[in-house]
Amino acid sequence: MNTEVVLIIAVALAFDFFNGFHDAANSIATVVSTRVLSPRFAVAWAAFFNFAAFLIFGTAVASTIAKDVVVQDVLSNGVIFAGLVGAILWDVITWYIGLPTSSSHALVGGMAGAAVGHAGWRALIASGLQKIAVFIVLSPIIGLLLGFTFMVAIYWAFHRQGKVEKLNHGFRRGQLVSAAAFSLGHGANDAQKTMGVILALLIANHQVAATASVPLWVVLSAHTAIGLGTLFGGWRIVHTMGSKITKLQPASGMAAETAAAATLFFTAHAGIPVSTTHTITGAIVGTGTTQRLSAVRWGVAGRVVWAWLFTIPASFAIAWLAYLPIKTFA
Amino acid sequence: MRIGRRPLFFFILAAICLALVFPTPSEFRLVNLAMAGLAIFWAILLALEELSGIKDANRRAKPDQSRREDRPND
Repeated sequence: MNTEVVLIIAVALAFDFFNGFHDAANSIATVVSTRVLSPRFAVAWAAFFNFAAFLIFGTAVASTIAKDVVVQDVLSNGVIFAGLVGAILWDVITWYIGLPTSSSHALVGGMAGAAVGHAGWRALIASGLQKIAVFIVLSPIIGLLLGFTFMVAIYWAFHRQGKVEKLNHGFRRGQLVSAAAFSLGHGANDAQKTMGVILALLIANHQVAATASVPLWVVLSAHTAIGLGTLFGGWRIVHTMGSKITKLQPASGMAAETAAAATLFFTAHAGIPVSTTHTITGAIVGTGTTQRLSAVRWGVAGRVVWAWLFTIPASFAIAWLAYLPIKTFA
Repeated sequence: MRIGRRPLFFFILAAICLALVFPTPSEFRLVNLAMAGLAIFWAILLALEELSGIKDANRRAKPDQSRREDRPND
């Protein structure tokens, strides 16, 4: 393995670390905002389950990123590096202004932008991108509908229980489990995207066969990076997710996390790279909708949606621009 | 009779899920259909809840009106 490959792997792991820093805040936003755990413990809790995800889930999402976004023969060190630069820069910009955008879609947009810069539009695999694009819309809707359903089920099951304090105590404990499940889903989905990038890099450099699965060292290093990123946390986004979209109680926090976790388990199993941010936002909106539509702060939710819409084009453009000097000087 | 915003919101979600059936890869289309079904289910229930709520409100309002009618000088 040459120095260039090692350096790009380091950049990919840095992206994964930053993904943890940026996105994993979503895992703990509800637990922190309902005061089930202190921020410090919540971060450690989420980081542990981010890492543990490799024991449970396969690598279907990694295969989709490596093989279904960009045509294999277009992939080169320069393309992958520029793709990562596009994704990282967009993440940094949105983190700075406190917007919970999707690192996953930034990565897909970045890879696509750099590949188009290298070989034109023929570099893209339409069917793979179509699957990702459809679930950009579907994943928050699934989260929303499941969040609403779980919340109604909780109301239905406990509406006769008069002791609200006792109930809240029970839901606080339940939230520990739901937050852990969501962190597992997050680790499974997001760490696999970096695995996919590294796998693509290894295939491009003939380090592994084109049909190979993800090597264990890649799996472990990606989960370690995202877990460490979570440990360092992104508090600006915790604030947006945990309190600005709708006011959460332990019961609604648990319902939202369970709904989002269920969605992520499905997509990780099916090999669909979705945004954990989209999913948990949809689920939070779903639980808020059980009160009334005005319980959701649609202005904040709308701002989030605009950020989502811009993510793929913006990271695409940044990666395309980042690839220009590489193309010129390489 | 006017349907409120929540049933409409869920009907729109169902419409989006159904509109996405065609571009969704065939192996995942069941997800769209299941979610559209769930959204329609909630939309209908919420609409029924609103309609029954209107009836309840009318029933509550009627005794007040009859009391007022009993006391024309009020």
